[in-house]
Amino acid sequence: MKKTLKILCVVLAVALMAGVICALAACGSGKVIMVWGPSDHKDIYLDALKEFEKTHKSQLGGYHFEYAGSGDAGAYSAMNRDPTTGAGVYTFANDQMANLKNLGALAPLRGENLQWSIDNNDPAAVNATILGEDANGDPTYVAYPLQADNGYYMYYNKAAFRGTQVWDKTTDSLKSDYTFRDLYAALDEKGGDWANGLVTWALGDSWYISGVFFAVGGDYSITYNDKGQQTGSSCWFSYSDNLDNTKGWGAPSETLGWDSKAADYTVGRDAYECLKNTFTNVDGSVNKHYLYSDGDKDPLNDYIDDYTDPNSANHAKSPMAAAICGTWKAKILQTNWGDDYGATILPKLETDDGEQFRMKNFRGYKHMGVNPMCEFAQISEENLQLLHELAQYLCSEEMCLARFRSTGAGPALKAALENEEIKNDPAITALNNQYNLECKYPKNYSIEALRGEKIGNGYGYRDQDSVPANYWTPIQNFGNTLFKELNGDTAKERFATDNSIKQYLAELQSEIYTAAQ
Amino acid sequence: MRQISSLEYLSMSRITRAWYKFLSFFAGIPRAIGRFFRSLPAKFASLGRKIGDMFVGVWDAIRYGNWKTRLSLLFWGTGCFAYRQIGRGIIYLLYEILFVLFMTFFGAEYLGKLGTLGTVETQELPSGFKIVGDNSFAILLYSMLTIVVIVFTAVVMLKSLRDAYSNQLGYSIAQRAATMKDDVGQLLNHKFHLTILALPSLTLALFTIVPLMFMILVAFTNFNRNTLPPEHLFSWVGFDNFTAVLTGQAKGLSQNAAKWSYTFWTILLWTLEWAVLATVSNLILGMILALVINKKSIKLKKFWRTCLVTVVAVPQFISLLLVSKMFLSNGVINTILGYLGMEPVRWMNGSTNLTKAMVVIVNLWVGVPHTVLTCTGILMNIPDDLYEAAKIDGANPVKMFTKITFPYMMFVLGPSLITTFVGNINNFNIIFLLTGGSSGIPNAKLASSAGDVDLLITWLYKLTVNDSQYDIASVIGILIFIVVAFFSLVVYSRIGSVKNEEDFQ
Repeated sequence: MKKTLKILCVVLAVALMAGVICALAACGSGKVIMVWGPSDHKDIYLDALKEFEKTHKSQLGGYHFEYAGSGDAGAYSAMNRDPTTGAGVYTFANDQMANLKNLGALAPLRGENLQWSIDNNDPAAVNATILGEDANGDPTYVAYPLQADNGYYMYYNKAAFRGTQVWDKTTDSLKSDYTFRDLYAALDEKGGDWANGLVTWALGDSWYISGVFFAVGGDYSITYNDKGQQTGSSCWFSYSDNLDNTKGWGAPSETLGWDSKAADYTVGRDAYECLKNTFTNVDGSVNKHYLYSDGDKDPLNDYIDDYTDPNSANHAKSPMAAAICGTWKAKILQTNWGDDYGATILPKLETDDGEQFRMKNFRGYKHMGVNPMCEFAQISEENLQLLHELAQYLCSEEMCLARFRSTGAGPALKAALENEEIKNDPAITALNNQYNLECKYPKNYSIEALRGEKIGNGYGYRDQDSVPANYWTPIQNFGNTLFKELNGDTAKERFATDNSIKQYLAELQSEIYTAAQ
Repeated sequence: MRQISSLEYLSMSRITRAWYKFLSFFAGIPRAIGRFFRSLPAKFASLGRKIGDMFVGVWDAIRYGNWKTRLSLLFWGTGCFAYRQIGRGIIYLLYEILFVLFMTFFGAEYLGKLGTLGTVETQELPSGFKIVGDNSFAILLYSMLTIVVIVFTAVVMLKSLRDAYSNQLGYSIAQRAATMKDDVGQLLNHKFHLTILALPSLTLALFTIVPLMFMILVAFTNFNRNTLPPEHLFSWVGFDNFTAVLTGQAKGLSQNAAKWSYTFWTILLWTLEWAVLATVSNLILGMILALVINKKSIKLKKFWRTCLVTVVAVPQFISLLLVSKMFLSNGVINTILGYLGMEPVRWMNGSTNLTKAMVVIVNLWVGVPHTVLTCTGILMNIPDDLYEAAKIDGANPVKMFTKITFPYMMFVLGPSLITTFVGNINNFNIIFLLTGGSSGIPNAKLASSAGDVDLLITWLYKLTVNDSQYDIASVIGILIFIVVAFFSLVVYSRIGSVKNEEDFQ
């Protein structure tokens, strides 16, 4: 008995060990090239990859493709685990571009590949794939433009506003010159079910708030080397009467980056007032039609689904009349609102003095990257080139159309943009109208003269080509603190006086500045 | 604190006595720490002696061994072959060959670069093709593996030498050395523990000790998001990360040192506050509930206990995610408040203090059932005759609680309180699933991604998963270990169940 037991022990121990070894061995097997993208495009990509595999069998040398839905926002964290085992070709949102390059997971586009990208894509989108300069001082392009639709605009329910003061009867749509307060007033005017109607925009989400800062003439600038490492940055969201005041707040004037003496230092004040006036009444109280949302704890996306869903309790109580969001909500809103579905450019913003600015779009992109670190690309330069070919194939017109039909994704490819089906889509039209808006600053901001082509481009967007290392958090904090303070939830009164606003804006500015170092 | 005599103690009023006990608990802490450190040299000395013993035999073997024995040092197994232990000799020789191969083709390369963690940077050709250079990560990891292998090999080498020497001695007496059959027989009989523990020890070394060494060493490098291998190299920075986190003084590398240190101390304070609050509140409420349920006059005892067990039976993270949804701005709770005509409350995304309070309260709901179950078990174990005797002596219920029930419970609960406390210091679930570590109120002074409700453990998670700040994360990990070890050791050595073990009858 004892002997049997002993033998059993040994056998079990060996079996355990063998199991571990097998498991380890299984990890490294198989010649696979991973392709990452959004999970809702899985079928589209799988078909395309099968096709590509068929036509390039000999070049693939026994490798085959596998698709994983990492999501565009998840590309960096997935790649961060180990670029050598990561995807060969993958999609990502442009704010991760520098980080991905820093991982070594983006192969630069040169020669024919670069020419293809420049010839076939929307120039603004191609511009957004530039990261730093090479040794000769030429810009380095590190990805293929995939989608140029990562922006926001106003969705609205026509039934809520039809016949009110903001309505344009001739076109049966919202007037182009409207403010948030106009919308609130229109809902009161409309009455009935809409007396409790809601308007939401993500005041607690830095991407959306940035649009307000850019609208009044604020901006940041940032420089990278071609490795994806930040070499310098400056930010200008501040508010002060003269330069000396700023020093005490940790934002020395040199950091502003441009000729600060010529600058007008009320950008921060304007932005603050405009932000505040998007959700408050003239007396400073929060308007009952405003629904606070952010990207996290009061999620904008969920609210839009919920408050427009005819079957939900929240919809019955207070239906959503208008919301600022992007193309990814086009399909669901079309379903929920039916014939009353509408989309238009962003509203106008207003300061306390009644000065108006057009809210801008923080225009983001989605790119397709080639990873030179992956196993397949490491074998030879030809293999790397094959991955470039695959990326171009995945950016082709039919792929763009397939993606548009499945989720309403707006392409960056010129040929696809010309396609009737895409051209006539209300959401894409609203987005493009916003992009093509002429936005001149009412004030004669010197910044416009100084950086004419970039932010002062005179159009309704600011390119999100790159963002300082810790840009998002401080801005987001600014937005949601502002709401919570004015909503009377906290005891701290950071926004009580002119000085405290100055102080907070200076902190915000120095946050972005110092974090960028 | 002054030691007092029993007479003095007995002459004190009840309140003074409790106060005295309370104070003497804390007054004893420095002495306990002192004792621990005083005992350290002796512990190291005995470890040293054990290692020394290993070498004594070796020294004898070299001094008194014949040529066969001495040659075993160079060619392992010589001493076995010479005495016709062919099987054992082959194993030694084979191991030596494998080791030399391992070192030549694997170990030496990595170990040689351990000092710099690599010098060859990854290059990019004009076509975009990458020639991958040194990988600091691999160098550090495989160096650790190599070191473990070397230590193991050293032990085997010494064993081979001692075998040779004992063969030499044994042969002169018995004219015969142990055969392979003898060896196998021994391994299956009185050395069976070696057989059965060999594989577990190997896996332990490979999957626990090597990664642990690796992670500790990361604290002394600048392995972070700017130096991610294989694109970049990272290198040794000594104690810079520790000084940055503890004192806020940067020596060149971490520019945000002041922020790291502010964040660390702020979060550490809240972590300890949380651990104390969560532990004490659970204990008190759990005890009260257990007493109530255990009362003779209470009906449906089993039903109440089942209710509590149900909470334990549902996986914690599910309950927590559910609760976190309930307290959303438009969640169930606020909807109910709305029906009652009240304003919605921003429970866990409006103010730091309210969020902290909510976390403690929700933790009660999750944790109290465990305490109740433990306490119930103890209560049912207290002999009834103690209470009967007390009753005859005229004790009132309060007296019985303070003199019988409470001491009895604390005696048993003491050690489990330590585990609860330590568990709360590292209570990732509650904080992370309920709040994500933040109440939504920004604190610009905190380092990136740290929130105002974060515990050290949730911050550690964010540092590694979101920020790729492995260097700082490793430092935080080590500091958490120190904090937890400190509290466990000190409190454990001071509680009644350890000090007066024989008191428990």
